[in-house]
Amino acid sequence: MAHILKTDNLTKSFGGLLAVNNVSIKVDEGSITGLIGPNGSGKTTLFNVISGALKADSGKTYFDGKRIDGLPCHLIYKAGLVRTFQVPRLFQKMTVLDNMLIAARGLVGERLTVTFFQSWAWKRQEEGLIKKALAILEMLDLYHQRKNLAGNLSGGQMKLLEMGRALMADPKMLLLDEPAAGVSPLVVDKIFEKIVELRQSLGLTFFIIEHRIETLFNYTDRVIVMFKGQVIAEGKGKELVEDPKVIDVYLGEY
Amino acid sequence: MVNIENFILDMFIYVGIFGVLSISLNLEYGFTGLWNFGKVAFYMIGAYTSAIITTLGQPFYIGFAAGVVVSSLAGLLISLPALRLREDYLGILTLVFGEIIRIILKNEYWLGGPLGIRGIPSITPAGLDYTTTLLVQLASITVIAAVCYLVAYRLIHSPFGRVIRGIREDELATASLGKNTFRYKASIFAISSAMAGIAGAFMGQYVTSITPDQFMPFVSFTVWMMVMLGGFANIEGAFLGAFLYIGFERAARIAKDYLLLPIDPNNLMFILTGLLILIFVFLRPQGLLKENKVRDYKGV
Ligand SMILES: Nc1ncnc2c1ncn2[C@@H]1O[C@H](COP(=O)(O)OP(=O)(O)OP(=O)(O)O)[C@@H](O)[C@H]1O
Ligand SMILES: [Mg+2]
Repeated sequence: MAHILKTDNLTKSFGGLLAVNNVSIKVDEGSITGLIGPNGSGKTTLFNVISGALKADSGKTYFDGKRIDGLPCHLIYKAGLVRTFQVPRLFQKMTVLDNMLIAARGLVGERLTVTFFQSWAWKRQEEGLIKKALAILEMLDLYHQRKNLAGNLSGGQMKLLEMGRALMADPKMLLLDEPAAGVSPLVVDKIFEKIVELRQSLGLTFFIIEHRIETLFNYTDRVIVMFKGQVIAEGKGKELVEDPKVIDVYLGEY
Repeated sequence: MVNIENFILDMFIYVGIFGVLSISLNLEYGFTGLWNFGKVAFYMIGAYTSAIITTLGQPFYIGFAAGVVVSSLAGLLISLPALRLREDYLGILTLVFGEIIRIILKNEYWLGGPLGIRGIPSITPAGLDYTTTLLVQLASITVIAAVCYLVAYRLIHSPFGRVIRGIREDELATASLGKNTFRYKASIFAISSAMAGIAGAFMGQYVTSITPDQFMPFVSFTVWMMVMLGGFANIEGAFLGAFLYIGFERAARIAKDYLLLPIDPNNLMFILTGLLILIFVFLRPQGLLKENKVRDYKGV
């Protein structure tokens, strides 16, 4: 299988702290790949560097065959790589539906000439986008909230809207930072089942940070384990459980 | 006692001028979250550009157009370095920019120096009586304000308006959702500065003489107070805020002629507006009107 995402010796430090230390990983196209590691091991920082939210100190990132390190966030999105945030970064004073629509790709209304003189053009485009947004909201059980302000959602609903927003962007690959954190246990399985379904129906690739080992092993093809900024192991769930390094730093805690 | 009709007409002309400035600040701060404390700079640039060109004998529309273009370019120019800064630094930089422009104008004698520019040709034909002159001026600023309102209306009720609100709420999230936030912010800065420019150009021909000291930072703060009164991110509120503030100011100006005060009556206005702002900050910090929605989504 082809690698849709590949990093070569990515490094990012904060002052003296090496948050991401020489990380080289590969993610197979169409896979669901997990990323685990204890708190502070650099998972979120790795996502931040890959998605362009932070600049790497060194190293390279390839997505879909092209180098993307050093590109600003919006161009990485354009390439088809879309991320969510561990702590939801919603547009609090906007409605749930507006949060969704803003994420859409190729908005004709981005051009000022269309905004001023051809409002029919963006209105027509938006009709389709609204349908799509509502379908995603329905899938995430957020339909009834569509006209409420995002800031009034519960923590779990905010996480769902984060994911909905990312899906709205027609990504090739999604980086999900703890998509099921703060969500009730029943909903956790529902979210991961949806993820499996989306991979099937749309051919999306998922790279997911998740703390619940059971969940991750149940739904992922491969898991990458980070510790103190480095990748210490990777493989299928079953193999990892037996890897002494992993037991030592991570599973041992349980 | 002044002629009350003329007093009121003059007041509404200023409501128009400051309504345009408030819309312009509202686009920047209310909708996009850009801290512009130097609104007066673009007002001043519009006023001076148009005044210089029309006193050289060009018709007013050339002057107005030049005022709009130069202000807008100045907005775009300053936005290039400034928009890369954190919001508080942007505030400081725009404040300083206004003062720099004012001090330059004060010291460059070919631009009028401290005495400014006098004898700016008015758009109203000579020979009209004063009330008719005011009516024509009021009609003109109403047209200008209506155009600015429509421009803002189209912007904020559109996908573009959704993205700028997103930038205000969370710029990193907006960028991560594929929006070139810098381009949006620069566009807003240019459009808003163009509006401030036309307000300045209009004001110059209305009062027929301008001096650098008319453009102190206090003018920018006044616009902030108007936006605060009317409501952040509400373009109708921009006019409401301008009306309330100017009405209040005028009322205080009349009141001081009739009141016996233990203080310098000229300070009454400042004391009262200060109080008004305090009341708002505590009781209704978001202003009178609520944020404009992007769309109503009827039937959705
Ligand atoms: N912006 C920042 N500035 C300074 N230090 C940071 C910053 N972001 C992360 N760090 C530090 O880098 C290290 C890695 O943090 P990171 O958030 O990537 O960990 P994580 O694996 O996502 O942890 P968690 O499971 O708690 O989310 C931590 O020690 C953290 O304190
Ligand atoms: Mg994290």
